[in-house]
Amino acid sequence: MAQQNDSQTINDVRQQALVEYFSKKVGRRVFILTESFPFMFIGKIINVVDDSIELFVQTTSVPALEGKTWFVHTDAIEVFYIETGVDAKIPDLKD
Amino acid sequence: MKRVYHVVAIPIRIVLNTFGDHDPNGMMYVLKENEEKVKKLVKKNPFTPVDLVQPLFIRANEGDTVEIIFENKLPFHTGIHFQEAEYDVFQYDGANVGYNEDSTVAPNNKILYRLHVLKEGNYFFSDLGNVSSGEEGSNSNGLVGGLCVQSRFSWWTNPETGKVINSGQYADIHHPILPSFREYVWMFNDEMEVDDLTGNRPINHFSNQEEESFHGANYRYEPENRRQQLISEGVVCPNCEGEEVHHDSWVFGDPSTPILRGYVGDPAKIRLFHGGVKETHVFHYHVHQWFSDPSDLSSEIFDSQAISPQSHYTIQPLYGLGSLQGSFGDAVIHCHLYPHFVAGMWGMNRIFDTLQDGSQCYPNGVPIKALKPLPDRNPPPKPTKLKPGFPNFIPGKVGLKAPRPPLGIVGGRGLTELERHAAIENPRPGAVFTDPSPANAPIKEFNISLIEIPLIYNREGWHDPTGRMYVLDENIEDVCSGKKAPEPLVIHASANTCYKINFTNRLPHILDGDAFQLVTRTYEVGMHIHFVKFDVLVNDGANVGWNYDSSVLPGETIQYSYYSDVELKAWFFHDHLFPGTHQQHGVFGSGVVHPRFSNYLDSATGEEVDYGSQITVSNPLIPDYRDFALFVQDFTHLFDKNGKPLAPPPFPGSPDDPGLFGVNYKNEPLQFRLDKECDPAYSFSSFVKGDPVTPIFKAYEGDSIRIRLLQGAQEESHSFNVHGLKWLKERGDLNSKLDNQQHIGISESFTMEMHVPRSGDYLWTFETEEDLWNGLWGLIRAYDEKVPELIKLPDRADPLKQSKPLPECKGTKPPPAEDPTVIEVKGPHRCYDVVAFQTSIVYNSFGDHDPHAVIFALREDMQAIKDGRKKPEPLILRANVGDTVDVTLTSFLKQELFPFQDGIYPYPIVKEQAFYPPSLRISLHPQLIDYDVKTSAGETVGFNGDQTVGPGESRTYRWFVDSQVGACGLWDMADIRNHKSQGAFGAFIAEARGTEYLDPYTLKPVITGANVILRNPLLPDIREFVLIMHDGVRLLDKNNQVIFDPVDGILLAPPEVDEDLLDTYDQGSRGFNYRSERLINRYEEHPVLHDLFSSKAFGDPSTPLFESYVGDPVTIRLVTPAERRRSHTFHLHGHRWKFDTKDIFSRTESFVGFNVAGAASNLQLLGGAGAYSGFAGDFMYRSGNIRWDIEQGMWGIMRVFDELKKHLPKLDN
Amino acid sequence: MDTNKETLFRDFNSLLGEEVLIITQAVQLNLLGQVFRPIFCGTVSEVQQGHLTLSPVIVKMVNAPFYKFPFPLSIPHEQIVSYSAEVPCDLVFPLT
Repeated sequence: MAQQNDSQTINDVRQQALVEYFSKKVGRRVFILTESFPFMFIGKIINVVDDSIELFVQTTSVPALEGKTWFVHTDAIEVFYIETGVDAKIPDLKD
Repeated sequence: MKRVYHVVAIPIRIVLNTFGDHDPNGMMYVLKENEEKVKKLVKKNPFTPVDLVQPLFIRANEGDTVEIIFENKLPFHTGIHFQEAEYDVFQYDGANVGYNEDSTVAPNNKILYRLHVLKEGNYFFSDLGNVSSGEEGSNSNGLVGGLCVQSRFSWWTNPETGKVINSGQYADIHHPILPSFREYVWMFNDEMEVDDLTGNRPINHFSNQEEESFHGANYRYEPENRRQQLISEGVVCPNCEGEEVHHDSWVFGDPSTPILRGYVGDPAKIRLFHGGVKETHVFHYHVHQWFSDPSDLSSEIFDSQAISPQSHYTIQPLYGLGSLQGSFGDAVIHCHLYPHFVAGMWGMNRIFDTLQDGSQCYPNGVPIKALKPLPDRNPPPKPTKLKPGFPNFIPGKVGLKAPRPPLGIVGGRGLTELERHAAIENPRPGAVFTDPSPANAPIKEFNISLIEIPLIYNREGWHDPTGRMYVLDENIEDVCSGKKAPEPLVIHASANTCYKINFTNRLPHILDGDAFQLVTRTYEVGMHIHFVKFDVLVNDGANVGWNYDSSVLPGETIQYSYYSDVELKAWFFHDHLFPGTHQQHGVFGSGVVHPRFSNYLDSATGEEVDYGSQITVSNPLIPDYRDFALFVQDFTHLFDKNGKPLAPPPFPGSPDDPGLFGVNYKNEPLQFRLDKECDPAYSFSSFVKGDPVTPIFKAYEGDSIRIRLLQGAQEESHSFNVHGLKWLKERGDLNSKLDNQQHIGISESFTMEMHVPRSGDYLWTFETEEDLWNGLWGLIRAYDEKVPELIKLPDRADPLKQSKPLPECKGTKPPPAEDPTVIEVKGPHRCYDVVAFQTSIVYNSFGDHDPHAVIFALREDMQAIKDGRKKPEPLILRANVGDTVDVTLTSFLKQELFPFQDGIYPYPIVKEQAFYPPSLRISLHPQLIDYDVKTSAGETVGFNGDQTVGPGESRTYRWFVDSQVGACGLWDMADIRNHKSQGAFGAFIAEARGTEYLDPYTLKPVITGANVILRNPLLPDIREFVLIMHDGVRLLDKNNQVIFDPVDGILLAPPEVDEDLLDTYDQGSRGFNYRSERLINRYEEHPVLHDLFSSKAFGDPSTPLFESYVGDPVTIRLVTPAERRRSHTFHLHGHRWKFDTKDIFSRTESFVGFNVAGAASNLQLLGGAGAYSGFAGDFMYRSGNIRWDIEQGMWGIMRVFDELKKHLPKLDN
Repeated sequence: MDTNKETLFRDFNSLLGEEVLIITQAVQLNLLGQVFRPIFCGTVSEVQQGHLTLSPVIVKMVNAPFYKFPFPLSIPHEQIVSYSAEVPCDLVFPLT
């Protein structure tokens, strides 16, 4: 669990916790919605770099942007879901 | 993904309804796999509709490549042109345009079309091999279809069987992560050739005249005439009249037209296409509302939406089927234009509350087809004996009119046992099976009656002797005694109101006959409402499908119940039982749902009110405002003071464009506005003939105002304009563009919110020539000092004390307006010296010309134009944001150069033509930019001073470019009969700050011109193409004979054209920028239909040819300054743009609908010239109206090169 | 160390297994062209320091106000603008 020190605000703690959570899920599939274009990412978490997530993106709303590595800033993630291997899977989307 | 469809164009007999009405020369696109099957079925069933005979609807997913193998089995060249898609125009346009390859197909040949569908939505397709508007043409006979593009990863199934399907009007669309939804395709068709069972034209059994033309959907229609015949022949429904049971399934069973089936709450999309050729229709869908732009949650909410030919929308009902309240039953879907509704253009959305597995029957024994529940939703309960579900708990009798609802009618019945089991826990009048209101919502009660009373429309005594109107019960006496002036009823309440309405029918049983109509029993009426939430079964104020008949007989009262969930626009109400018969007499009104916690005040006294078309609204949290409601009307049955009918139809009961126009039961025709010298230039001046009798909306300088714009009657498009003010197109969206014009069709409702920056008289108009001529205009009067008849807005400072008397009508000419240029200019200053004069304009290379044109030009160009060294073009002025623009106008008009000294044009005409001699004065009025209406509106209005100029006189207008609004129309307001359709118009373009305008060929700076390069230090170089779409032109041919367009321009015209075919507002020639490439000229030279757009055969057209390179940024400025009421669709092949340039969330489209006087739009081509895929070739721009625009010359070419041309420098991007 | 700064975390922990309606920051979200306001209602199935998870979860779409999303959704605490545990997920309310 992210430890809070005196200079950190609660916002910092939560942001850090989210980054740490993603760090633990490297290798798993993730679904992310952002308000900004291209709105949706489905892909595999490759790494977490500072507060950005490195993804290999399988699907977005734009086919031309797929099959590439993307970095998504955690602060911009509106909602997400990371497959656990036990609970529901993110569907495989096929054209 | 690649998807392949093999499509065949075949001739087919299209049976349009179960009465055997049919199009013997129908044509359709069909999938190859269905071709033999459909032919066999049609052969077997020559007089019954065959399900497979429907417009072709196919599907794909966003991002797919769609390949169409197209095979032509019709006896002439045909093709398929797809809108919205990107494709190589050179090979796959489905047309033969410019120097492209011919991509139409000869009989019995094949071609491949390859399309890229980049965006979810509706892709209309149709034939361009044969664009004849007549009976031999392909489009009116059915050669149209739709490609519905879904979100990526979707698939679709048959709603009845659950099996995957390849085509069809109904499909359930599924997706791994989005909700499944019902997809219904609704395609309006019009003007199809129809024969009855005997092979003759259908006859109206009532008038014994030929029936109104075909208006339907998906190749079907269900005319009132046919159903009424069964009554008159004693087969069904004794004692019924006809219109009141037109939609009643208890009497007739279900119609042949589309019935869109679903369960309560099912998500749904209606893919709405206009596959017709001529009319602008209004799509109305009871109970439901939707965003005008489904991709933009801050867009306007609609429940009625006009649609012009070859345009399309996705209707996504909010909250799914049955709306927020979860209402079930039959929700009628129809064209709200009553003559079309009556002609049969309707169907319904049937919302079941119980599971349909195919084992149930309707009350008349017809089996209810199975309907698979959507897989991601809980299925509805199975029907049981106690709870059989809709419609089987309703105690109706087959063959008789639907029963009245339980509880609603005062003194009426209670619930049967089956009804009780179906009802909500605590049923009450108007809310029996669904409760739209939360338990604690405040209740507002109104007592409303419908009465008959003569309505006097103007000071000349034009009147409707059988006016009919809604009125509050407490006002009946005052209205009938003349103490209160009649006006359409507008009631006011706030959001979160539970309305309780006690509605009483006080009409006589009979609507008397006259020159307009035959005697009709209008013995039952109701109050149908839009926008608010209600239980459709008992509270629709209508009689639809298997629902109850929620109307009342004379003397009876019915209680209705609705709920306003959020702040709404003005909701429209009207009668739904006999609207085709009497709505044009005034049977309409509105409720305005204001923000919560508002108070409503009488604008004169400050007393609280809850009704009125002009009130003041005060609210504790938001700025107070004036609220003005305006209802435009057509088909108004008026008689002059001597009892002579005005513009009567050819015979009583004819739907052929009868009568005149009104606004709030008033009009102010221009023929009565002439001064002693009979100069039309002062027609709008109050100094000469006083204020108009039409509404004058009063405010103080600086007030905020809301105009509620509605159309109460009956069939036509109108174009509302406010001169000198502007509003956000989407009220809830600050990113939306500014507008000062709005097209409207019956039942639509718009709220325009704005503030009045300065004092003065602002003109509002319904701007098209015939509307304005016949009196559809009035004023917004903003005072600079306190007047006794107007309270101040409670949250604003006191107005100045009155220091001078108000101006008065003295019957004399208005004083000249003050000179705006005496004030020193700060910032950039641009001056234009403009002249107005008469000249001849040659419209094309075939010698069609207007010898008496009136045009504006820069003074420096006048001589060259007069000498013939320069071809006349509409004047186009530009300025940048921040500029102050001084335009000096000088008139060189000459009396002798006007062709008709009395102003009565023998062609094209307007209704009620009258003496209106040409004015030698002229003015220049701009849209959208900022100016003081008292000096620079370019018109002489109300008590503002004179801003027109006489021969040899000059006047300078001062305009401020306060916003980058792009295209603005520019036109004369001194004489709308003798100047405007003759060419007195142009465009003003408001560009970004710091922009230079360059000639695209020399790259030198230019002052005017339709084709320029915009160069700006912060923006890419942009090609700007200005298109002015205009109509109502009187052209002569090369032999100086008048061209009677549209009739003279019809290709493959029958030997005798029915004169009734033509409304006044279709008359005249048309084109772009003073040019018209009439196809008939080309056809006479080379009679090959599919070659008519070919430059190989004819050279390039006379209309503007716009050249560019692949990828060049292109903005098209499209304006329609003139002139007639028929609205035109604009379409550019192979390109799309944002519907609202200012709003990145707005939908992408390849068309612009509703081009009528005052329309202006800016089209930034997505991906630039050649679109994202960068295709080169000739892209046609054109009207979407097959009847009667394309033939008549409304088309041209945008040419996109992929290699450098010597004559065209490339952009420096 | 403990301050009252972490009360939100505790609050949500107390809501484990309960239904909660959560609204986040974005003006609108876009799922393959379908746009919707970020309004989610569901059962709190997991609470972490940086986010919580709703499972099952309803996405309030204007055309499908009770759309059961096919998999759970996690919401960063920092994105939550407002929430209430007193709005039942089957409540009908206007979304415009």
